[in-house]
Amino acid sequence: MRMRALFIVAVAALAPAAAVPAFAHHSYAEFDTDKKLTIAGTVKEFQWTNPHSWLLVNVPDGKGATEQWAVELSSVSLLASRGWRPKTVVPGDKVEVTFHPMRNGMKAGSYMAIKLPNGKTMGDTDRLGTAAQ
Amino acid sequence: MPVQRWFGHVAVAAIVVFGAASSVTAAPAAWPDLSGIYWTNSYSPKIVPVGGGDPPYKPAAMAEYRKNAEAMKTYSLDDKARKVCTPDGIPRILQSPYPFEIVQSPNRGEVHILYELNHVIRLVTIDKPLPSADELEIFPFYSGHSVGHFEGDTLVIETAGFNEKTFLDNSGAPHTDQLRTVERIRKVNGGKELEDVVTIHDPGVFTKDWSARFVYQPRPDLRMMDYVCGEKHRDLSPVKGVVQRR
Repeated sequence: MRMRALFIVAVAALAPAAAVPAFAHHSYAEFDTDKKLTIAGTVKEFQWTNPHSWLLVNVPDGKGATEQWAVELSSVSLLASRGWRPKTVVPGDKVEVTFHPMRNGMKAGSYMAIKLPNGKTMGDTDRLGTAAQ
Repeated sequence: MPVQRWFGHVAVAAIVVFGAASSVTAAPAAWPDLSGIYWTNSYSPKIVPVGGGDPPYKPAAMAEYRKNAEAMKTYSLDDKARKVCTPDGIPRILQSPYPFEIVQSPNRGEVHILYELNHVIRLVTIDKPLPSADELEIFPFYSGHSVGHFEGDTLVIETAGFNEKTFLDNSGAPHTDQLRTVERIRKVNGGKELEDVVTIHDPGVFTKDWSARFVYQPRPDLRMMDYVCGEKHRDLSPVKGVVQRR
């Protein structure tokens, strides 16, 4: 157990050094599952890939520019079983994404739910205290 | 010559018996032998349709192609196949000026095509249906998912389920995930050449289906080499049309 705890700490410590979303496989401890954050912005890129998919969203920063957020989703198979497809979101889509933010303050998080341009919502915005799916 | 006549009868009987035995064990139907190493002797960065001209692009796709082609000339196109060695996809891999090898495994019902360029491996499952439309959409591959069957001396390969991270050729021809290809591969010219006629279907960018033809020469004298993009490699001077960067 002690070794495992050390390992998780080590992985979490390394993660900030890597550019989001380059750390593809990592500990879930980086995300604060007791918190949720919702951003509204424009999809820059949707990476439909294993082991984890990524959604990059440009969000207005209130000063005329945008800042990029990276939201991590699950594996292709798991997403597909929940109704996702490679083009569920495409660049240019206006979306609202809810996620568990990272503990270290990076503009990234773990996906909980999304509101699509057609008004449809996928996922669960209320699931706190556990790893989001 | 009674002895010879007797021997002849035995030989015929043996053929009959062994012939029957082989049908009992249900050996796979003989496949035409297309296996071996092949290399083209000519190359063009642009894949030209049979009959010449441009592929039948829709206007928006033609505009995208022209933009890509300009960027390709200045090496500013985001061409991951040449920058990070991802697979070329089809039909781009068919125009490769590097050798490839066809490996036939009748007992497994599989044909593999191994390309020297970037170690691309294509698996062609014989006499099986393509995966479901859902599966093709969920698991898109650079080289797509291929199934094949033999029609006489021709290997027919149908491929679908491509991702959108590739170009159709070395001049930057675009495509969408609606791309589907059918290849007809056979030996021609008395076995001195291998022909691959590919039909390209992509209603996302083309107004109609079109075909291109590639010809390769059997090269049993060659050995497949190690190669990844960005490194110095095989001398391509025997391939007409190749301009090698120094």
